[in-house]
Amino acid sequence: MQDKIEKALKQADCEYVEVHLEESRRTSVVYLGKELENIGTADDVGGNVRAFHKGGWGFVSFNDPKDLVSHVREACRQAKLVGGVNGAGLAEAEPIQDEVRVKLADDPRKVDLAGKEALMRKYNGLILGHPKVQTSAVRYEDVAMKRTYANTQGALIVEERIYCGTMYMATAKDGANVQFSYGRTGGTRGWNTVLGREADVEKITKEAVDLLKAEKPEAGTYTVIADPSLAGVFAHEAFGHLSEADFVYQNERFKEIMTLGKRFAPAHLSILDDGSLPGERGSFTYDDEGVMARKNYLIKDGILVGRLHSRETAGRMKERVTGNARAISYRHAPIVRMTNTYIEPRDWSFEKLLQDTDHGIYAIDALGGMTELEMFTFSAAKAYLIRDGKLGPMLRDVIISGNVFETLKNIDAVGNDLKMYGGLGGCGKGGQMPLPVSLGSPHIRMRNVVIGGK
Amino acid sequence: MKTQSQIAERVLTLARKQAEGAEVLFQESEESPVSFRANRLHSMETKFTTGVGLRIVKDGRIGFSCTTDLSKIRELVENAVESAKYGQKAAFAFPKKAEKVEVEILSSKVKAVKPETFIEAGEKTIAKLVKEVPEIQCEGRFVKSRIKIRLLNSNGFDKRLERTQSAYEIAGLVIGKDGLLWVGEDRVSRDLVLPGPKTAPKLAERVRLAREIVSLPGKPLPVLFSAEAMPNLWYALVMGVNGKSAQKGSSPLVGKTGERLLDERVTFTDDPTVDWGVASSPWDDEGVASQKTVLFDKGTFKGFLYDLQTAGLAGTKSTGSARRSFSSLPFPSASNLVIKPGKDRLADLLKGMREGVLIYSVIGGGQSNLLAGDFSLNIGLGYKIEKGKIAGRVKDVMVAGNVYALLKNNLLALSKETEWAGNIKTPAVLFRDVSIASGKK
Repeated sequence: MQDKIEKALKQADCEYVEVHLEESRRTSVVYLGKELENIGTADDVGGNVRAFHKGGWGFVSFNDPKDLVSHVREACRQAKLVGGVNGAGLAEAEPIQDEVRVKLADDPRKVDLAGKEALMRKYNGLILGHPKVQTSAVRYEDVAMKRTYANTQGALIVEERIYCGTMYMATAKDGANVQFSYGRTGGTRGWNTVLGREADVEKITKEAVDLLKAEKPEAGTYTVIADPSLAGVFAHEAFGHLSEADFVYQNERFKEIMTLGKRFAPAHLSILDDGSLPGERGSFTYDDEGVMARKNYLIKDGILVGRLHSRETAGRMKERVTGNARAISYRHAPIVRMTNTYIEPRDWSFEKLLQDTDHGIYAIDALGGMTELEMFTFSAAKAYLIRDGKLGPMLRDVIISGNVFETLKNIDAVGNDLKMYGGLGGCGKGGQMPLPVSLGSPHIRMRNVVIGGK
Repeated sequence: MKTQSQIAERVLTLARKQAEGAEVLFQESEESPVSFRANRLHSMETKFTTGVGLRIVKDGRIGFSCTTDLSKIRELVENAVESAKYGQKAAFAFPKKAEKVEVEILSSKVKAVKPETFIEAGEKTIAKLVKEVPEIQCEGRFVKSRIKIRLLNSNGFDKRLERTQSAYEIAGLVIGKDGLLWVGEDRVSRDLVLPGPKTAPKLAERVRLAREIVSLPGKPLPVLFSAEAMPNLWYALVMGVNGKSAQKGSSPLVGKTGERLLDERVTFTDDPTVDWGVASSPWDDEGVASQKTVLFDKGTFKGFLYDLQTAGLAGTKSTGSARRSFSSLPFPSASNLVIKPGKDRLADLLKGMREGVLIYSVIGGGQSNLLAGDFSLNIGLGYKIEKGKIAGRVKDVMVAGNVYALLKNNLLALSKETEWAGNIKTPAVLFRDVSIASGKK
């Protein structure tokens, strides 16, 4: 195959060309309520050729690699048609030759379909066993893939990846009051990841039922302790997307706001994106432009120090590559994406953080939300009132909104209990969803947070 | 092509050796998008897809698998057989043949159009828009696609189909002190669609009218949902009429067949036989002949949309509503939805509003339960109307309510004019009182 790629790349007649080939096998099990909605394994093979010429891109994707030569020619033709005279070039990237094989003691491919189905049936049964539960959703998925990457600058990389994860949700109902709670785990560590979730499944089931009786908060301004998941969602959604260079370079106002070296937060706050963390859902060795994944500080000790790049955006902004060009599959061209985005831990324990908070809200996990530039709105999955340093009654419909730059400045304490979340979903951008990512944080405390409610 | 399509026959033969029933969907497609970013042509692409999906019935249970690797046909069959051990009990038989239905789905114009035409149309429209609104940042995407399908099953059904699709979207972003303003236009059809000479002036006019932001009184107001915005509400009905939601018991329409649930001016039809409709097809994705299905007739709920499996479980017949690609099992889904227009001219509806809101777009759903009809939507682009005229833009405002309740008790008028918005052909709809909340203090 490698000979074939090299031969095809010789046909390139524009500035830069790369070839991706991908083989994957996906196994999934889906329970919706009592019914096994979907189960099975599917194979996918395919690839693409991407060409760059004077600022313009051409791209051809395919399932059958036999016409690779004509695909290279077509992509070059497209790039030349699109490219202008003044296009900026791509940033430098060392052409790497490497092979990354995965050796998992706990390879999910060694477990048969019956084993996967039985585990999900067990989790599903735990949820449906609760009398107040109306319905459930339980999903399992593993994907094993092998990707081959080569470009006209001499890179040749073969990389294997194995994802495995599960997600489970309980819906409780009392008349018109419908509440749900969910849990998830997923990464590149193997089958182990999805085992032993019984306690968590039971916990989320109880929470869905408890939420039926939870109160809505009084609207107002609160001190909020965000759990590692909600704080991670904040780091990814509210701040991380603003650090993606394709957003920054197209936007004059944000180019100014996102000036490197500016203070964005107190000195105890650091936010980073690190695709090289072992075992996480957003982890890999090389991105989809053959650039090695690395630890990129976005905010370090409160100062804005970096942003995320593809070779195109780094070239345009005259900065260095960061290993963040990613595509969800061979059917798409890579764009600037996050990997594992998190807030770096400091020294507060959760107990100390709680004791130190007279009055506030402990908000856990996000169900969804939206962002518009620096404005964000997240719905916490659940929350508790904090009174005199202790957890009080459970709350629901806690909606947190604010301006990301103000909120960053208002983070006055960062915990020591970093936790990462992978799951099965991922991030959506530019029609590419879901891209595997992880996010996380220790517990953090934010002052002056606006909470909607009664 | 010939050899590839023969693979479909081989898959069927192999599968029949192991299962009492089998169905193969072979698909080949070519899609060519041209994209603009930051007011400039950015990329051109071609995406070829070839894949095969296999559904079997073995020991009465459904099994499924798919692959894009045509050299791994045996694995495909093994995977389907393995999944049938756990699959749902089949409540249907594969169709033998489909009645002939005439509908235009293959456009010679789409087949012939060159990317250069898209480039020119995009550049022209964006240049015009930038001239009128210099600070605007435009994105654009033009796509043409062609898809060939062969569907065959163990009951002797064997048919081929070729269809085209063309789509474009132009979106302009203006970043101001008050946040974002998006304006845009999109179209999709099986025939060729391109932006016209009116596209740029229309969008520029929307930006100009949005320069001033006005506040709303804190009370319910009449709201005119444009044809572009109306699908956000129709989706509630689209979810409700789905035979799968009926089977799960989650649709609020369960047990309501034959009841007058909406205003009698509302007639809502699923129609896969409209020429050039984006979801038009002579037969559905499991070979059942396409048919028009009236879902709401003068406000009365007539019934659900089914594929073979959900119809079998419900003890009724498929409405020809199976949708899928080669990579998934069929599921029931609406095709083209056509809403009967009203009697009033759109301009007259606007003129007649003393105080109200006109909505062109909404952003993000909340956590509301749309299946139950509940919606709460942030207005993306909307204007306050005072004495029949646009007074300014409304921002950080949410509209909320229940679609079923609004369409039953709160409907003032449907416009005479209709527009295609995706797969929905709808008039603009004016409601009497809609709850409106301002997000900012």
